[in-house]
Amino acid sequence: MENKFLTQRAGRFFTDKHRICLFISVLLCEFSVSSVATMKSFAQGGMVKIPTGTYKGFYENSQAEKIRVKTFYMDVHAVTNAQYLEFVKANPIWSRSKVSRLYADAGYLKHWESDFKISRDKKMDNSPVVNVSWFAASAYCKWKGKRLPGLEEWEYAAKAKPDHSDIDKIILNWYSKPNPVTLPNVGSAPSNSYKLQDMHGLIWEWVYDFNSVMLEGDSRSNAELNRNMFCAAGSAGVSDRKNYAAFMRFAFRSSLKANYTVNNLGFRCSKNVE
Amino acid sequence: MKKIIACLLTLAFVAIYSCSGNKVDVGKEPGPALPPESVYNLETTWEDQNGDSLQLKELRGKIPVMSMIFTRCAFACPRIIADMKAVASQVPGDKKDKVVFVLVSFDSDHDNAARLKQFASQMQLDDQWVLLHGDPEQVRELSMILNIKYKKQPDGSFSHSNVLSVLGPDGVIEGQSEGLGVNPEMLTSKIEDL
Repeated sequence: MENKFLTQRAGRFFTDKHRICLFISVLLCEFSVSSVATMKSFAQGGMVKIPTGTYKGFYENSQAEKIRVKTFYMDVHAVTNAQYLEFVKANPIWSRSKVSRLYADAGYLKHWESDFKISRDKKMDNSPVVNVSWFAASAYCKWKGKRLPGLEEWEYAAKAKPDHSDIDKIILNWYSKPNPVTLPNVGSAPSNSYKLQDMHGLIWEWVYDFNSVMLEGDSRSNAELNRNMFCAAGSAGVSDRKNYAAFMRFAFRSSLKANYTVNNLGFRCSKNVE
Repeated sequence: MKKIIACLLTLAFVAIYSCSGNKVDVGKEPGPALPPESVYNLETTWEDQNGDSLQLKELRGKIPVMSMIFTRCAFACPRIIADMKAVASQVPGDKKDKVVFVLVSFDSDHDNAARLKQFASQMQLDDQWVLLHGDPEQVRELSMILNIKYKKQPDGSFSHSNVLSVLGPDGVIEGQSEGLGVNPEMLTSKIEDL
């Protein structure tokens, strides 16, 4: 608002040449403002704006161009049990007893006490919802006017370094521990430089196009896709062979089907920047 | 006597009424509810190679053999179509008019009705074949249901797994084969059982 006001006022005093200069400086100004806006949206909508950028894909071969990701919004936290309960109450076809097997297997919300009750104690309310299928996660995000993040968006956002620690150490430390009976609340792992929390260290997360990863035994004969990753040459095609955590994520994704539910697999939503 | 006539008349009325009532019921109800795991629960609408819109549940009662392709695909797609033709040639006689071959395109940007029609004639696919396209979201959803994996490449082509699915009359996946050049008997034996 303020910027527009300035331009309008300035227009009266400056020639076209000046206006172009001013336009550029307003643009620059806009950029610095946007970082403030990021903080604001974090506080308000529970989402942060992830800036446009590129990253080196995990399984593209070394000659491949970097993957470009366009700016988007992402939830700061994974969706909690309490939030998911609101969705189920508003859309009873997604309750445990009503959901179609086409959309969720028999483990759907098995950690809940009943269709519309999470648990007797409130312990689980703010832990991330798990045991939800891809269809359920997609439906939740749609209900919120959002969508699931794309695989590339998720990987890009998850690459951001946590504030004060070594990302690989956090992840491997997490992998080495069994799942606790009750998952910790969202926000218990450190946030990364985009202010996203729990991208690693709490749960696995669904992505929109998780089925774009193929690492089955038949990847030599069948899918042309990702042969760079696990074919006869071992893992020579992978860009960072020491990235065990990424190996685990991609292998896990390739093992999923859209109606599967897993007791440490949840999700968070994303949104386009209009 | 009057009583008997009245009785007969009443009976006749009841008979006619219940009969016509039955007829209306048959017209109204397409059959029992779909099984929960039926692919026909998907509500999305597709467009076929003739430009007609189609929901998958319109295939109810048929035996669809389904896969996903894109028309600019040079290698795997002609081969998967060859595999489907192999199935076609071995379908038992009494199932021939029930089996329908369905190809759904990954490529929402390029594959429209006209392109699909051209592709069908290029591949010599007769009117037993239905070629469909839709928006990217419904394509992704269907791929999830059919357990087909795919990824759009930077050059606009698609990498994908090759899965053939046979659906029963109610749209439940009854059999799947994965890979290229699979033995058609795997699927034709399923078709025989349906």
